[in-house]
Amino acid sequence: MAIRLIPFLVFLVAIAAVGIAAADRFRSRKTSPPAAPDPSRGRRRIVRWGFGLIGIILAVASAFSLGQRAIFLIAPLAISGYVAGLLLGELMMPSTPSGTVRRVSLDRRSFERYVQTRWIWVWRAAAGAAAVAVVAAGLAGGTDGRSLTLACTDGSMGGASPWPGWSYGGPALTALILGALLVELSMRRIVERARPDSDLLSATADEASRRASMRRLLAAGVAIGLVPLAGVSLSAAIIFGSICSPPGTLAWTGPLAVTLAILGFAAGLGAIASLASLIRIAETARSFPPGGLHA
Amino acid sequence: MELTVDIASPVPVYEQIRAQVTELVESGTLRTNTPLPSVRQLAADMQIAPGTVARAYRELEASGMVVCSRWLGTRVAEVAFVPRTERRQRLDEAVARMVSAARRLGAKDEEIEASVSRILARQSQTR
Repeated sequence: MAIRLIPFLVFLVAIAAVGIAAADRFRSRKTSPPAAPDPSRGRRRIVRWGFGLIGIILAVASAFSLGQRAIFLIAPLAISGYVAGLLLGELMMPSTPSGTVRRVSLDRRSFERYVQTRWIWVWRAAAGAAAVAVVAAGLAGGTDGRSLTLACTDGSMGGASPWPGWSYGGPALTALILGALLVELSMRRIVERARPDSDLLSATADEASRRASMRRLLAAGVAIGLVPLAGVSLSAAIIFGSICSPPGTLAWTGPLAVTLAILGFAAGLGAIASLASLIRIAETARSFPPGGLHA
Repeated sequence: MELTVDIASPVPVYEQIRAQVTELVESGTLRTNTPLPSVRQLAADMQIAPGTVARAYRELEASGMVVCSRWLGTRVAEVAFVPRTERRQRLDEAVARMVSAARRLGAKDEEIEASVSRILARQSQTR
C-alpha cells in the first residue's frame, strides 16, 4: 500500500521543487552580476520555451492518440521539445566571418570546460539505465506487452497488469532515443559552434552562454532519462508488491519491489531536481572554469 | 595563443595553419601534450571547410608535430626522433632565421653570441 503512495509523494515534491526553484531564480536575479550583453539571448529563450511548448502539445496529442500507452512517453517527448529549441537557439548564434583575415584562439573547447564531467556521466547513466529498464521490463512482460505472469510457490500462476512491457515501453524507448540523440547533438553544437565576432558578442558573453546552455541541456537530458526510469521502476514495484498473494508468495518479489520503489523514488526526485534546475539556470557572468577564458 | 589566417592569401589556408602550428611547437610555445582544438571547432571559428583543417592536422601528424587520437583529440606530440643530418639542417635553418632577425636589429656578432648565451643560461635554470 505504501508503494502506491510514492507517485503522490513524487508529485508533491515536484510542486515544492518548482516553487523553490522559481523563488531562487527570482532572488538570484536581484543578487547575481548580469551577464555581458548578448543581443540574441531573449530570442533564444523564446525559441527554447516555444519548442518546449510544442513538445508538450505533441506529448498531449500522443497521449490522446495512444491513450495509456503514452504514459512513459509524455515527459521525454515534452522535454525533447525543449532540447530541440535549445539546439535551434545554438544554431541561431551569430557567426559572421570578419573579413579575409581570421584570428582564432588555439584553446580547445571541450564539454568539461562548461560543465563538470560527472554531470555528463550522470546524464549518460540516466539515459542508459532508463533504456535498460524499459528493455528489461519489455522482455520480462507477456506477449500483450502490458502484463506479467509468474509461477507462484503454491503452483498457481500469478498475473498482474498494467506491467510496463513493450506496450508502454516501446513508445517511451522511441522518445528516449530521440531525446538522447538531440542531447548529444546539442552538446557537440554548444562546444563546436563558431566563436561569434567580438563586435557582435564578447568572448565573456559567449562563454557564459555556452556554459548556461550546457547546464540547461544536461538538466533536460537527466530528466529525459530519469522520468521513464522512475515510471518503469515504480510501476514494476507495484506489480511485484502485489503479485502471487499468500500462500503462494515468492520470496524475492517483496525485496525486489522495495528496491525498485526506492530506485523509482530516487529517480523521480532526481528528475524533479533536474526540471527545477532548468528554471534556476540563468546566464550570469559568474565563475568560469580554471584557465578557461583566453580568447 | 592564436592562429591567424588570411583566406585571400595565395598561400593555401591549410599551409598557413600547418606553418604556424609548427612554429609554435618548435618554439616551445605549444608544449608537449597540449590539446589543440578539434577540426570542427577550428573550422567553425575560422569559417572555413573542416577538410582544410583536417588536411593541416594530417600534415602536422605526418611531420611528427601532433598526434591525433579518436578519444583524446589532437595533441602536441612528444619530441620525435629526427635523423642526424636532417636535425643539423633544421637547426642551421632555425639559427639562420634567428641571426637574420638579429641582423635586422643591427646586432653585432658578439652581441648575438652574448644574447644566445644569456638565453641558454636562463632556459637551463628554468628546466
